[in-house]
Amino acid sequence: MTSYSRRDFAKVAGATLFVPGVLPAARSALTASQIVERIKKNVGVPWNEKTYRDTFKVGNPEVTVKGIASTFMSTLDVLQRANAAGLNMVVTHEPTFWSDEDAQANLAGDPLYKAKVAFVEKNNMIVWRFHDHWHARKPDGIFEGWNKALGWEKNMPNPEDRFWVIPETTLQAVADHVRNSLKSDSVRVMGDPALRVTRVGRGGHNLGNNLAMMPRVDILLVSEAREWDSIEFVRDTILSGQKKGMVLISHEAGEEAGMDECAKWMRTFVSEVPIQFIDSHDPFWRPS
Amino acid sequence: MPDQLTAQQVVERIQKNIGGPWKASPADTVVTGTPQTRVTGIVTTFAPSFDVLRKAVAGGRNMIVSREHPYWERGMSVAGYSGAGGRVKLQDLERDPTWQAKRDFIEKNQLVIFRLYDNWNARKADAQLAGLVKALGWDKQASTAGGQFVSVKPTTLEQLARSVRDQLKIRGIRVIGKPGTLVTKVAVSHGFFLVPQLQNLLKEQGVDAVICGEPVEWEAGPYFNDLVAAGEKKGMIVLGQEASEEPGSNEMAIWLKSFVSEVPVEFISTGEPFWVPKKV
Repeated sequence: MTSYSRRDFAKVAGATLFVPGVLPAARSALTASQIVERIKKNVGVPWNEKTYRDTFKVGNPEVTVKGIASTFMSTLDVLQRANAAGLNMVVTHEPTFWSDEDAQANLAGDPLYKAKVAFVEKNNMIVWRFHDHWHARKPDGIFEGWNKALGWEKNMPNPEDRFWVIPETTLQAVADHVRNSLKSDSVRVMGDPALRVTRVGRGGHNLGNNLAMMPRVDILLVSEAREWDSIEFVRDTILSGQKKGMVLISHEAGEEAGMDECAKWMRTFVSEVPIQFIDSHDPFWRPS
Repeated sequence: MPDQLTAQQVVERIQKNIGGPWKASPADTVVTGTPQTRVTGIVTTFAPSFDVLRKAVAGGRNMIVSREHPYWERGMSVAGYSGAGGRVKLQDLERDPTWQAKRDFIEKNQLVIFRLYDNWNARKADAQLAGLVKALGWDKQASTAGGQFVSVKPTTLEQLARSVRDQLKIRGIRVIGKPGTLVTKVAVSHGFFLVPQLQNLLKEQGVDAVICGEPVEWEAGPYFNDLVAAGEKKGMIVLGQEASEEPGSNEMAIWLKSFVSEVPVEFISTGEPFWVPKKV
């Protein structure tokens, strides 16, 4: 899974068509900081200057941007593929250094940390995280992508409700659909496979989200939740006799399509350099 | 005398036998029921799920010693976890139909649930680990006393994952790394799995595969992914929280029997919560 699809190449090709009148010299001057300024201007919600998430993580913000990769997570694999594709700015939804805060102080002596930083610096790359404000956008950029990937963009009549209404089917069929449409091998399910489903609630990583949603829907669709609380809560809900279930997917499977959306969106205000979505891939596989 | 054994006395014996000074912990408390309850039998389990509670009642046991909380509370303030979100508000819990049904069942049957987590984890010998290593069938070949590191007959990551899945009879196993990675030495851990624990296990020479319970998908999961991308020929096998901790609850029952003989003590499996769709 290291090669890009035809579709991805088409996107790159489309994005690199030069806008008449824009000279190469002007393009070469574009810095990562300038890109971020444009993102702030275009995102449509007030910028929270106190965000610790949506900031530069590694690299020099004044580096000249040759191309932008939009991705779910700036894993080393994604950085390598971005670099190979000539994209030196990575816009990532999730952390680079394995914690929400991207805390680096404790990692100073870690060989993997050093290797990752060295790779970025050697290749004049820059990584910027785009999480809170992409979620805060109306509509939420991540969930817009998720809806489309599921083919359910017309099935959430009221986005505020955070649940989809689908033609009646079974939990088994929903699980298969999620596995197929999100191309994920790591789907895990709770509940009776024959359970009738029409309302699918978008759960969250935390028990509070899932507790609030469950009474309103037949099943939850959740992208990563803690197993000591959300999973045990759903287990008890089912065991209590309520006709409920849950489809649990990897964090990546739930959110990566939203960064494909992000790439498309950035192309509406960045035309000087190519912008490409890079799939982080589901981190998990399971044995046959 | 035997029929006078109270939950409070069982707790005191646990405190006395824990193998070190008992430390006050917000986790290790009587979570439901009254300490003066006369104990008819004890059940140990990973999580006191509705199913476990029903089985306990059906078997005439009214005290449960569990690793997790009956109302799914560990609090989100787990040390070292960069997870968002605070505790769920009590009024939100109390409105929930599942919470209400469970509370009614617990009250009706006067069940005493004692959570034993921090002090159990603090014991010198990690019984959760020992239980898992035994369940994996590796207790004879473990290279250290606690069984953290195990030498195995050369195999591939995929074959190892398959045999672990079949040995533990679980479904929702997930793997990171190249399926053909050669494995001769495995590091075993259980439960919530954070980056510092992973870093520690990787300090051991020659570890090709790491078995763990629940890594966070923006923490230890991608750390391992990056390790593979950096060229390390290693794999990670993720069992799930319950599957990795359940054997330890059996160890807890064996331990309790060594100082509680008046009433039956029994381990009840919470069971893996998941099933998986067919592979594409």
